[in-house]
Amino acid sequence: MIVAAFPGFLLAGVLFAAMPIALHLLTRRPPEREPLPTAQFLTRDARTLLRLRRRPTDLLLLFVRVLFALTLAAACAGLTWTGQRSGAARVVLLDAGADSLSDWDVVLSEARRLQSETDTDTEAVILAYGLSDGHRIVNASDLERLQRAAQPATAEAGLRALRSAVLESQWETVESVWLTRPSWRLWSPDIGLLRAEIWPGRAPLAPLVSAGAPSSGADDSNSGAAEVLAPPASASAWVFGQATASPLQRAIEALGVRVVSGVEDTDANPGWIYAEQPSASALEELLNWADQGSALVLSGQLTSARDEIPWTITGSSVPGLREAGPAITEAGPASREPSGFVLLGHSGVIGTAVVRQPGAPGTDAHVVAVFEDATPAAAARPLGEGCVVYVAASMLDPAVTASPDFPRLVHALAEGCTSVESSDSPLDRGALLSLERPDLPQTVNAASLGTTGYPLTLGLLFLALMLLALEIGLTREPRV
Amino acid sequence: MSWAKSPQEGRSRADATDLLPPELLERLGSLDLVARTIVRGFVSGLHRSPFLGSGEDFSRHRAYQQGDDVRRLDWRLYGRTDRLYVRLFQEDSNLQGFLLVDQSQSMGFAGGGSVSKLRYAQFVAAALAHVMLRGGDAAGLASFGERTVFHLPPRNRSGHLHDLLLGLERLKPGGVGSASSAVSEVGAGLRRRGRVVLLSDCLEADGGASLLGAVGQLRARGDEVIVIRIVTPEELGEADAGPARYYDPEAPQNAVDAVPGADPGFRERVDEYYDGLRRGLEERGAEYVPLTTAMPLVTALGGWLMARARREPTSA
Repeated sequence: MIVAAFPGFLLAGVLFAAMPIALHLLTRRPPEREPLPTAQFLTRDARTLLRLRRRPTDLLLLFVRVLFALTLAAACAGLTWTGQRSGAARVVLLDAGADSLSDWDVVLSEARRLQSETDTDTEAVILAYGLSDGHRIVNASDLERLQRAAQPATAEAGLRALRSAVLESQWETVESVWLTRPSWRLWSPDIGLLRAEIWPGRAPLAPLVSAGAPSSGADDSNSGAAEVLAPPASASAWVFGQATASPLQRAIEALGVRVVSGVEDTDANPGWIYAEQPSASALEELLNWADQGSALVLSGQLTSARDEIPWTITGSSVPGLREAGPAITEAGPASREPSGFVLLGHSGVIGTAVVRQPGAPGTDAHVVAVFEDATPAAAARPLGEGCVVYVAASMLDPAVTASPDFPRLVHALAEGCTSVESSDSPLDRGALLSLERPDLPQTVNAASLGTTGYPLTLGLLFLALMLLALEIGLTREPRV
Repeated sequence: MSWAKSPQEGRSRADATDLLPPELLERLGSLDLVARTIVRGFVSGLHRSPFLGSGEDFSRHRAYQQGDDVRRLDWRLYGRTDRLYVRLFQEDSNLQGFLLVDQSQSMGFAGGGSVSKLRYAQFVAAALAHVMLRGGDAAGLASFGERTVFHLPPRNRSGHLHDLLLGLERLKPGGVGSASSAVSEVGAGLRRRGRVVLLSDCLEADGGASLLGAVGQLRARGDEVIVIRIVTPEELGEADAGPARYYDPEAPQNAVDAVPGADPGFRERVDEYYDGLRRGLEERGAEYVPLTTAMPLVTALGGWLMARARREPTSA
């Protein structure tokens, strides 16, 4: 199949080619013979010979000229031979990076299984990426001899390998299945934005079961429940102020944490304290609880500045707070469009965009959560025996609380000072969904990815030059 | 020498007037008036034929006019009358002349105009015949195409003009002719010293050498030779002719693909040919009159006759 980068040139070429035809039809042929008694004094003129040639010669010249016009136009149109796409394929996207070292045997057996279980009318191939030399399609028998890279491969590299392989293939429709251990090292901050652009189809992760590896996020996605670390058995939570009976409270209860109505109802220091936009006096008391061992999670816009809060803020809403760090507007960086979800650190993905509070973490604070553009969203700092966590978004925002990952976020925030996410940790369900994208079609039409193939421009230009030379030769070399 | 059938056969006298070009017919009305107009209009003041002979019999006196040769003045009469008169003699009415018309195939060429070279030659010959007969000369008619044909012997009698005109009108283009052999044959047909007027395009295969030789022979025995060259502007390269495969009508096998209008050397070569012919004729004492079919006949012919009349010695 031939596609044109600039189809307008083809139309112009047709008009251009019509010119010699029109001239051929409109121009009167000179009489073939004319008497002239003084003809002996004439000298022969080659061009006249050409015009006096017989009709077949004229037609040959006309054909050459028309072909030259069309060829030149085709060269300008940037034609590319892409071949004819046909058939369906199932690509097993095999992560051969360093992350798969411990599970390599499992990965290989799973790859063979996926390939063998494919329908007979669908071509099944294994596309290995994360190799020392990039990516390539490998036979099942050659899997053991793959030269894997020492570095882990990212999800973006896998998706780009899939796109590239499909573009270079002749398949018409392609579906893919991902074979990787979905740790956070697979993740990159921009993957959420780029995912659909790189591969506009579903890419479900095949389950990998390995005793020595962290549990797979694929299991989480299949079960529909986010994996959370178990909270302390004696933990209780105090939801302060207006957050009572809110989705926040229900999320805490879903974690198995008992919610007390107020600090006066508990004998001991509550493990977790959640406060949405507390007053200055209330904040003073809450900080004391934190100093005594509670994990204080503050959210929303604060009304007073305290050095214990691990967040500095710009703007005038909190005059007392120190101004530091990069200026962040509510809309975030101007170049970013809301992607539809906000990633809060390695432990939580919130379903829709939330309203951000300005500011930045303090210099000694520990970042607990980030927005999709990798700007910090929450920070934690130990205080006495406890911990203070500030969330740069409202914990009561429906966009946050409606997310099924909200309980996990609650837990992560409360453990902000003690739980340091490892890059080896498995992807949570939200991150997995952002990679798998079940909302996208299962099969992808390869033509929708763009065109690759053999550019014909140089060849057409060469042909046009040859035709031009032939035209000159026909007009300059008379046949007497 | 072979003589053609009488041109009067099957022809009416009224048809003879068709030979004159429309502009002459319109302005002059009759053939007789053609000659009178030429003499009076173009040789104004001379009141004589441009072909006046050199006879010795006194005819009459005429009042002197500016331009007359003073050697012709009658001094005796001047002494008696105190007025200037020139003496006129009866011109030599026995001068034989042949109008030799080229009727070869190439003379049928008309170029971009409506009058072919042969037709133009017929006009010129008709006018000259009228002038010659009116001047007292005997005029005959011959033509050459495939061969030389003698149509009428030189005569000067009543009705001979119409015979000449009818003979001219019968000429049709055809054949491959050679002016040199025709000139020689016609010269041989003159029983005594005479005049040969050749009307032709003068395109000779040998570049005109044989024609000059024939003319030289006539001149050597005292005959007067007038060569009236008639061509079209296209043949001279003066017209913008387009591309075509051109061929000589008398040698169609030699075709050349050319654009005369875009060939600057074409005109130069044609001019060079006719200039050489002119020089050769002048060196041999012959008169060369170059005409083209685009020239107004009265102007072209009258101009030449007027110039000729001025050169001729006036009978005195």
